[in-house]
Amino acid sequence: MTINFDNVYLNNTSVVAGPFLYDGPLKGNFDDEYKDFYDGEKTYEDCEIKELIKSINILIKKEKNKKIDLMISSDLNNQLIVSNFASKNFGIPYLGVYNACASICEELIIAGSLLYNKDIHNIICTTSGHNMTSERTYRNPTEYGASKPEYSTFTVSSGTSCLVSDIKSSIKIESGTIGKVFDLNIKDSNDMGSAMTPSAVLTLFEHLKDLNRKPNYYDLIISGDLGKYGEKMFKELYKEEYGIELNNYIDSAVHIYNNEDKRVLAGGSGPSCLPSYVYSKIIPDMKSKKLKKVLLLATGALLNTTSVNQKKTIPCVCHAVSMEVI
Amino acid sequence: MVIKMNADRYTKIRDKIIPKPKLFKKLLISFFIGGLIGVIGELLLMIYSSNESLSYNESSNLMMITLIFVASFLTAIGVFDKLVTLFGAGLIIPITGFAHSTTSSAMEYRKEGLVNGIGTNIFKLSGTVILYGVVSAYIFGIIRYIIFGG
Amino acid sequence: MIFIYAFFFSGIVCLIGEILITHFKLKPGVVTSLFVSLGAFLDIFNIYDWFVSKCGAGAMVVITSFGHLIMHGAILETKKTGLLGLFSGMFSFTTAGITATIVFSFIFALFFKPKN
Repeated sequence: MTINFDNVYLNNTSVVAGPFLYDGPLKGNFDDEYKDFYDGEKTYEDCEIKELIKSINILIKKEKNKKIDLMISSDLNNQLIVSNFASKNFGIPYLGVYNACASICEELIIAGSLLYNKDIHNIICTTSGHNMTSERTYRNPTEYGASKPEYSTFTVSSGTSCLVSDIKSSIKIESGTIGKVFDLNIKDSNDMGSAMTPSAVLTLFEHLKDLNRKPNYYDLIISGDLGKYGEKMFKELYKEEYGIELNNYIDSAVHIYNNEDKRVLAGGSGPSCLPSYVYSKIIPDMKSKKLKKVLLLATGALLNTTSVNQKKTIPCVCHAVSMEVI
Repeated sequence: MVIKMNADRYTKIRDKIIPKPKLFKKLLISFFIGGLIGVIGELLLMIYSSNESLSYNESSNLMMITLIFVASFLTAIGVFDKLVTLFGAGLIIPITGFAHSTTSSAMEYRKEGLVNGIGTNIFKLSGTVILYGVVSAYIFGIIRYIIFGG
Repeated sequence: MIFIYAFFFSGIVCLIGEILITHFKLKPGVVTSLFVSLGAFLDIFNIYDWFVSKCGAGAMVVITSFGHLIMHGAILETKKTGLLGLFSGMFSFTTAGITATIVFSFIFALFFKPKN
């Protein structure tokens, strides 16, 4: 299902980058950084909350204290506790949403739709990720050394936020496609790339079909966190199913870390992977007119430890948002 | 709406692209490290049993306690998990793996309190070993009793 | 000589474990549970005792020895008191290992934070 937006613009963004991200290929493009997983706090959760609050504060300052009508947030912790506690500091009406790593596009689509209401003008969309908290939520205690296969991904630690509003800016959010939950029977929770690729391929196809566009309508198509092998599988699967060879497609997870570091395995993942890459690299490229039209494909794996232990498959969803320079 | 993507076709694509684990290298490393732990254990056993006040049983207990202590300590200082990434099953299969899983679970849940945190989660990863050790010994014990009468 | 047997015994058991984890994609918890049951099984016919006498600590350091010790304790008690011994004897030989694990884990958890 694709929605066209009339009057929805992306204003400022803010990324507070954590370990592995702040000194990666995007070094120097972040608004702030933290160098270890605690950043002086007692727990990993407190650290993640602190960085998200920092990001939102930086954004509000950039927007010269405009009146913010609403905040939409997401993270990977159980019951979104990081977003919940961060939001408590701001006194802004709050919607917590969860679609794992697809959340950023879900938020942008919800924000774009709410802006049709004439009383709403400025919406902050936030995502937060932290390698240690997600490790604990989805897998093992963090000091436990179970070795991970090289096709698994490494959650990006960062707090990100952006302002979506009906106030004109140089970047227009012009459409959003809400994806369908879909999977092709992958059960390996270490192989999120394989699990999410089919839903991403499906959403891209539906987006282009709904708007009657070809893939090269866009200067760049960027997927969320399929990883090094997911990026290859995406192109192969798209060619196999729809007969088109994509030459303007990349996956943000592959370009976000220093890939020589074996610890990052197949690349980034998490709800803040795609936004961290887009806000620090793609948006500046759009503002300097290097890119004019981009399509974001945020992919999420909708599993939990119970479903994995019960040997169920990993259902995934992918939401798309297109942006253009005006 | 019928989605025409096919799981079998996708499996072929995956098999082409997902790398196979370097099994041979991992096997070699696990074999050597596992063997090394065995040798270290034997060394400790000889050292302890050369002390006249210790019986063989007591020396073997002390040897286990030493290995458990070292594994726990290395887990506590954050080194053991990095070693497991390098050495794989060579460190997980010996008693060091049992100590490591217990210590890492206890450390992780410390922030949730002494009872609700450490208390309920300490055996999260290692409880299975105790459970199946006892259950299988029970079943096999009955079988042995039937065969040998004791 | 016993050092060589020790090396090979624990090396081979770890090798089999690595095959099960990497090739058959079993979780480490599943593999250790299988091995501990195997250790108990091998004591139905006193096979594991033979391994311990030949390979010394090599047979003692791997998790299979845990199953062997639990079984050993149970068997010893059943020799004295019949089937009821299955309940009273299991932890006779494993108390040192389990107690050490619990005590050290607890103390270290109190004083050390997860790093990484």
